[in-house]
Order: sequence, then C-alpha cells, then structure tokens
Amino acid sequence: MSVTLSRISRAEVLQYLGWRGSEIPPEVNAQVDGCLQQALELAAPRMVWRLFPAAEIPEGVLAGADVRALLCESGRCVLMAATLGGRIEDAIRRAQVRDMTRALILDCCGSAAIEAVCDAAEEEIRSALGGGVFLTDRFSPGYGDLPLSVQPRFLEVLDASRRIGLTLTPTGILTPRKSVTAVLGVAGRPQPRRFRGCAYCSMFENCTYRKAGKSCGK
Amino acid sequence: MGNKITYLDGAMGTMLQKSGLCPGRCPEALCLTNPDGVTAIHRAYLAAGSQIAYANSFGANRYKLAGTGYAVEALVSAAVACARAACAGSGARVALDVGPIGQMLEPYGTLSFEEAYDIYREVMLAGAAAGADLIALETMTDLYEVKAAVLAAKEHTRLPVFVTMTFEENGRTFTGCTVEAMAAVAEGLGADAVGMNCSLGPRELYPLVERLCALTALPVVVKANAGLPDPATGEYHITPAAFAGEMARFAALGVSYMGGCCGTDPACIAMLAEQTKGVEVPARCVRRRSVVCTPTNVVNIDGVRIIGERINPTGKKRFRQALLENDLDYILGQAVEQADAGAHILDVNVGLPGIDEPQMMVRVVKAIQSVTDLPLQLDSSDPAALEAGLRVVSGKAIINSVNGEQAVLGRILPLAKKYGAAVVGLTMDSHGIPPTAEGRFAIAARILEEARRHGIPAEDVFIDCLTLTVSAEQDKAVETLRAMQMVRDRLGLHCVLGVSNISFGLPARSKITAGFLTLAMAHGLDLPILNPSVRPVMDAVRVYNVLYNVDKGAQAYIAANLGETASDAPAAPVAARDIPYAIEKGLGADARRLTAGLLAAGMPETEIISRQLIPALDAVGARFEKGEIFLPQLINSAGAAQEAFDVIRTAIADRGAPPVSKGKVIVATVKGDIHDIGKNIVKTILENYGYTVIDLGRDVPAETVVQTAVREDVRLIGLSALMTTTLGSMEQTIQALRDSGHACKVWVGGAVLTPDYAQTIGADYFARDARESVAIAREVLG
Repeated sequence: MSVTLSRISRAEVLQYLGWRGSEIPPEVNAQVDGCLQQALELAAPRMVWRLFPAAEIPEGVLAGADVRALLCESGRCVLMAATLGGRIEDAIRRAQVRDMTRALILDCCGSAAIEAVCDAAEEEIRSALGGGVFLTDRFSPGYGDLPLSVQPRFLEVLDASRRIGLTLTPTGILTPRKSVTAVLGVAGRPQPRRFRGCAYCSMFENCTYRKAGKSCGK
Repeated sequence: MGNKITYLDGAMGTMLQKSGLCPGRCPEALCLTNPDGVTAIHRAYLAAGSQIAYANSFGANRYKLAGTGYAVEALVSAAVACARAACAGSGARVALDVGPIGQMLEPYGTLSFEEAYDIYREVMLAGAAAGADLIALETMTDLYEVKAAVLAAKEHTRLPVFVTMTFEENGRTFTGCTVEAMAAVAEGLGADAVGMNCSLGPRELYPLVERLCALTALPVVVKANAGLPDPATGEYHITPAAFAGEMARFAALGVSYMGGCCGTDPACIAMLAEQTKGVEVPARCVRRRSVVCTPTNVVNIDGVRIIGERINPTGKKRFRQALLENDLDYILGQAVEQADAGAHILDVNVGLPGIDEPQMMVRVVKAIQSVTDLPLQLDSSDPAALEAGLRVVSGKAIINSVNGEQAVLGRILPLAKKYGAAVVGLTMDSHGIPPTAEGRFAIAARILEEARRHGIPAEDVFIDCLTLTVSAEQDKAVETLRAMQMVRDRLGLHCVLGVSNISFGLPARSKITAGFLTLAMAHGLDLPILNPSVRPVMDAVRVYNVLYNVDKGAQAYIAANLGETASDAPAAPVAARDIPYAIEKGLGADARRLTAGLLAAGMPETEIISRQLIPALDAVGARFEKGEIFLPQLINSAGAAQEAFDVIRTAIADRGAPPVSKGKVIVATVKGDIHDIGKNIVKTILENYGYTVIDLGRDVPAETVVQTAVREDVRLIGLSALMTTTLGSMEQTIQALRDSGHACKVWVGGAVLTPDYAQTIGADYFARDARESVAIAREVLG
C-alpha cells in the first residue's frame, strides 16, 4: 500500500551530511533545497505491514535479547517494511556522473525521507489498530543483537517482494536501497523509549557527534 | 471475427493454505512431498473450467532454492508432473509457471543480466524436458529480467511464452516499467501473449488492460487478484461473483486469456466461466506505431526526436583516450550531458582499432543505462558488437545500421528480428551512394522489403538518406532532401540523418547545419542525429516545432528563449578572478575558464597543477578538517578542480603527450556491497591531487582487484564496504592481495569500520573520510 511523504527533515539531512554548525553559504543551501524538492518528487513510498499475536510470530523472524525486551509487554506485534522505490536511486546514480555534491545530498535526503515514511507508516498502523494501544520503538534487523540474517525471512513473511517490490541482495542489502524493515510491539500501556540513543546505533564507533560530546538526537 | 476465452487457473498459494498444506519457505517442494495435494488443487481448477494449469513452479529457480536442499530440475519436473496428472484426459494444457528470481538485477542489485539469463535457462530447460506445453512468466516487475527470461525460453525451448507483469494503479511496475514499454519489448522479443497479473483486482486493472489492448496485436492475458488485501492480515475478501463480474468486462476489450491470482480460488474461476459462457472476444484494432524505449521511458516517434551523436570516438582524441583507458566516467559524462541537453535517444559507437568492440559495447551499454533512461541506438559495423549490445540493452533499441548490400542485410536483419530492435537502413550499397534521390529511394525500398521478409514490421525500419558535405558536392544536398521526401511519402517510413557533416569545411558551421536541418525536417527527417549541446541546431528543432504546430502555444520555444531555466545554484555574484577562489567557492565554469586562460598564456600544465590547483585544494581540505566547511562544500571544490583538470587533460591529449600522473591507485567497493557513493567521493578527491584512479566499481570480486593490481602494477589499493555483512569480503580481498605476493598497501573505509577492525582484517591504513585518503596516498605514493 502507498503511504504519504509530505516533508523531509532538513535538519536531519544536514546531520547526515556531517554538518556541525558552520556557516552554510547560500549556494549550498540552495543545493540542499533543490535536492529536498527532487527527493520529494522522486519518492514513491510504499509500505506493507502485518499484525501477529505474540505467540504466533512466524519462526525465524525475530531473535535476541533486545527484541525480547522490546516486546516484553506487547501482546501483539507488527512487522513492517517500507521503501522509497528505485527512482531516487536512479537520480543519485545519474548525479554522480556530473555533480557529486548533488548525489551526496540526494542520498542523505533519501535517508531522511525513508525515516519520515516510517514515521508516517507508524501513524497509519496506529490508527488502523484503533484506540487504547501503545506502540514500542521501531526496531530493525541490524540493531542491537537482532541480526541482519533474519532479513530474508522478514521479507518473506511480509511477502514484501510481491507487495512493495522490496528484495534483498545475497549479502542482505535491501533493494531498493532506501528501504527499512522493522518490528514494533503493540502493548496495552505506554511503552518506554528503550532503543533510542547512541548505544544501539550502527554508527556508534565512528560518530562524529558522539565524539564531540553531542548526540544526533535520535 | 471473434475468439473464445481461454480460462486460466487461479491462485496456487491461496489454495495451498486453504487446504491446510503449510506452504512454508518453499511451496514448490510440496510437488515432491505431497504431489497428490498439489494435483488435487489443479483438478479443482480444471473442474471449475480452467483450460491451462499453471504448474506449482513459480519460485523453482536456483537462487530461491539455495539452501533448501532441492534441485531445480527435480522440483520443476515434479511440478509439471502434478499439473500433467490433473490434466490427463481433459485436453487442458500445462504451463511452466516462472516468477522473478528473487533479487534485483544491476544496477539496483548485484545480479548481472548474464547470470539472470543463466538462472532462467536452467528453469526453461527443466520445464521443456518435463513436458510443459507453454511457459508463463508471471508477476514480473523488471522488464530487464523479463528479457533475460524470454531469451532463455526462446533460445532453449520451442514453447510458447506468455509474459505477464505486475502493475500498480499508476500504470507502472515497482521498478517503473510502463505498460507501453512492456508491450514493445515483449512483442519485440517474440512473446506469444502479454498481459498483467497480481497486485491489483480486476477493477483497478481495467484502465491498464484497456491501454495494453490498444498497444499490441498479441493475445492479452489477465490474471487479477481477488481485489485488494486487508493490510493487517494480508487476506482477500472479494466474492467470486464480484470477481467474475469485474473480469467479464475484459472480454469486450479483446482479452482472450483470463484467470485469477492472489486470493482467487476455483469458485472464482467457475463463476468467471459461467458469466462469460459463449462470449465472443472481439478482434482488436491496433494502430502500429514506431516506438523505442527503456523500461521507464517510451519514445514515440511521432515528431522530431533527437538522437545524440556524441558517444562516438571518430575524430575525438579525448574520447579515444577514454576508450583506450577504459575511462567510462568520461563516456557517461557525455551521455548525461546529452540527456540534460534534450536528446531523446543516444547513439552509441565504441568502435576503435585495438579494442575488443563487443566487450566494450556491453560495458558501455550497461553503464549508460545505469545513468540515463534514454533508449539507445547501437552503432557499429561489427555484427558481433551489435549482437553483444542488443543482448544486454534494456528496452527496445535501434540498430545503426544496415545498407542495401545483401550480405549486410542477411547478417544484421536477423539480429533486429531476434532482439526486437528497430533498424536504420543506409541508402547505399556495394556500388556506393547513388547520386540521385531516385537511386537512394530504390535502395530504401529494397531494405524495407528485406526487413519485412525477415519479419520486421515497417514501423521498425528507419531510413538514412545520407548527408554529403555541401562544400565538396554542392549539388547533392538537395538529393538527400528529395530522397527523404520520397521515403516519407511513398514508403511511409521515418528518416534518420546525421546532419553535422553537411557543413564540413565551411566557416560558421552551425549556421549551415541548422539551415540544412530545418529543410531536412520539412522533407521528412524526424530522427536527426546531432549534438544537442549545440544551441543553433537545437534552436532549429524548436523553431520547426513551433512552425509545424507541434509546440502548442510555442511554450517550449518560449521557455528556451527566456534565458536559462531555473537551476539550483544561484549564479555567482562575481566571476572568480583566480583559480584558488574558483575552487574554494566550487565554481566549475570559472575554474575551466581560468585554466584555459593560463594555458593560453603559456603556463605549463604541471605548473598550473602544482602552483594553483593543489594549494587551493589543500586550503579547502584544511578548512574541512577544522570543521569550518562541511562535506558538500569540500565536494563542490573538488568538482571545480575536476573541471580545471579536464581542461588540462584535453590540452595534453590534443598535444599527443602522455597524461600526467602522480601514480596509480585502485578503488573498489567490495564483492556483495553496492554502497559506492563514499568510494566515488574518494575517487574524485584523489583525482584532484593528480593520482590516476582505476575505479573497479562496486560488487567487485577479490580476483578482479588482484588481477588489476598485478596487471597495472598498482601499489595502493582502497577498499570500501558499508555493511557488516560485507566486511568479510573486504577481509578476503585483502587476504587475496597478500596471497598474490604483489607488494602493495591497502587502505579501507566505510561507516561500520573502525581503526581496530581495519587492523584486524589486515589493512595497512584506515581512512575516516576522503581527506584522510589523500594523506595516505601522499604517504605511499608521494
């Protein structure tokens, strides 16, 4: 099913570009604005989700202590996958030929866009589930101790290839590239933000913000 | 004259679930583990009225079966046997059902076209051996993958091939393929029926099927879903009666094969058969049109369409040098520049003595189609190069060219037929170019007749009446014009013409070229081959489109003449005075201009590099390291420096001198990984510093890195990987380099790497960013 992407966070794009507060000249601001616009035009966001009672989560999709902790109060859970489609990738590849800056900024816009799509998807799921339910954080294969190796099974359970055109390379890279899979718990009371923060981030070791004593705020 | 509807079956997966047969990870395996259960489902469909049973072989390819313990041949033959058992005595036919491989092809994923073909070849051979009556490609979303599968089927079996793809309501597949492109390509490749399945219900499919029915004379197939699924459960709720009622509307459009996909069952098929009992499917009236395309971009030749001529080494030293050095970036730059300038189609000529033309054609075609969606015109006199290119081209291409010589026609036309390409016929033969229009027309007529004899429709034959240089043969220009008029009016064919030659040897060439082009378009030229970056010729096309009432309200003309259309970056307030300023601000055009000025003033190239470019880049790099500027600014500066280097390289190539280099470096994104933007940034910045960078691309096998390092004697090798899952192939690549005994230093980079891990896997250096890579290159190579 499709999902609406109405805006992309400029601040997030600048973060992905490694901006740490220096003065941005007007021509670079214009480049960023142009790319934000193009990314919005090229994105073809689609998502698929399924709801499972906790006891009926298909085998091989979830593993590890982190997911167990995430879902400890959840009677049900949602598996979701979302993608921006391939057109933004086409534009990034094309930009790399003549304008590498544009390619880089577009790539970061795509990363921010798929996050925004996931937020929108989460809203749709929330409203489809009706009142009185509370969702946990989104947790994706590759975070914490949930291995990337569950990804094939994850996509299979969602029939993601057929439903939204999302597949994997043999090395576990989601294609189209700007895509996300995630699990969310559905609980009867408000859920703590368990997995936001640096320790769960795949950039932990190299993050320039963290080294500067800051956080990117996620 | 009407046809009867042939009923296909409904969903297999849905029925397996309903029968309590847990399909699990490999539903095809049930053909071996529970053949009676599968056969029972086929029987239920036949009892409901199905006349073609789709075997339960959808995912039986070696990629999907890897790790399941099942072999392709065993599962395919079991699947066909189950369907065959159900069909016995009924007269129903068995289709080998073939779905997508399960991973995306290049450039989105890592699966090559050749490997996809090979995977399908195995499936098709197994299906034919098992006795399938036809092949049904289903649920396809990538037209390039369809091409691999149809070629595999046609080259290894004699079975009819049905192609159905899965569309969204916007009329495109998930990969952006249009209905029009599917029709053009499937028909060109010799598919026996074409259509749609899955994704949507019959109601949503209706407008798309209506479009398809107007585009192709092939039988049309529709296998719709039972409506749209419930998002939370994935279940379908449409009733058989509602399904059948919607499906029945397709008959009037001329759809002759109908069945169901996800969520449908024998009740749906039975109801469909009942509701359409005795219905005659009317013959469709299809208007034949000249079309070339890529999966995502269809070019209808119903007006002037520009073929960009720049990808051609003839007379271009810089281009020749790029080909000889395997410098695809330069060629891709030409492709994208022409696309941006308004070309609709790109001519691709890579013929040069001393290169393997078929191999180069494949590389260049694949590279170009990864960065533009323009259809290609493959230009070669070597049939092997043409065929190599036609195989891997994505979409419907043009062959440039045949001529009136029987031997040439006999060699090339079968290729056009087999690969579904259009073909350019030059109006010349073994006696040369006829001096008169009548002589050229006669050859054109002969070419058309031969093409038809080979089964190529007239709309796929384009005629080139040949431009002769007006300064040498002034009386011939008018013969070319007359010949085109005759070809257009009497044969009804489109005309191709390279127009630039007309002005050779005269001053202010573009005036003559533009004037000739205008006349030519009025005489029937609709496929001019030209350089779209030359303003006067593009203006001639725009003027023609206004005067011939094509450009309604002269909108395109006005837009092109109101000054530059808006671009992202505002124009620089003042022109840069010196190269360091131009580089700091990322002003590429200024960097070009200033570099050309210094060269003209006699400054040696090496001095411009060492005194101007490198210090400017160092200054920018230092500011980046201090956090005073951020990555986009660093790359803007690198881009401006690249423009300056391009001027210098062209000057050196024109002089015939060897290129300057501070040493060779290899960069590669390791096997299995396709995240290459970081690697490409590193490449750009290293090139700025005068290093010759051999870019092996992404998903690069360890052997390729080792072989290139040894062959080219490269002492510094950079590897990137962005996934924890691909760090293993980084380690293997380093190990392979060490095992080869080739003395070299290896540096690595990528988001998930750390200095410690880099050391663990045996790298000599770890680079956090592109700037650190420069420091490493300086340390190793000086």
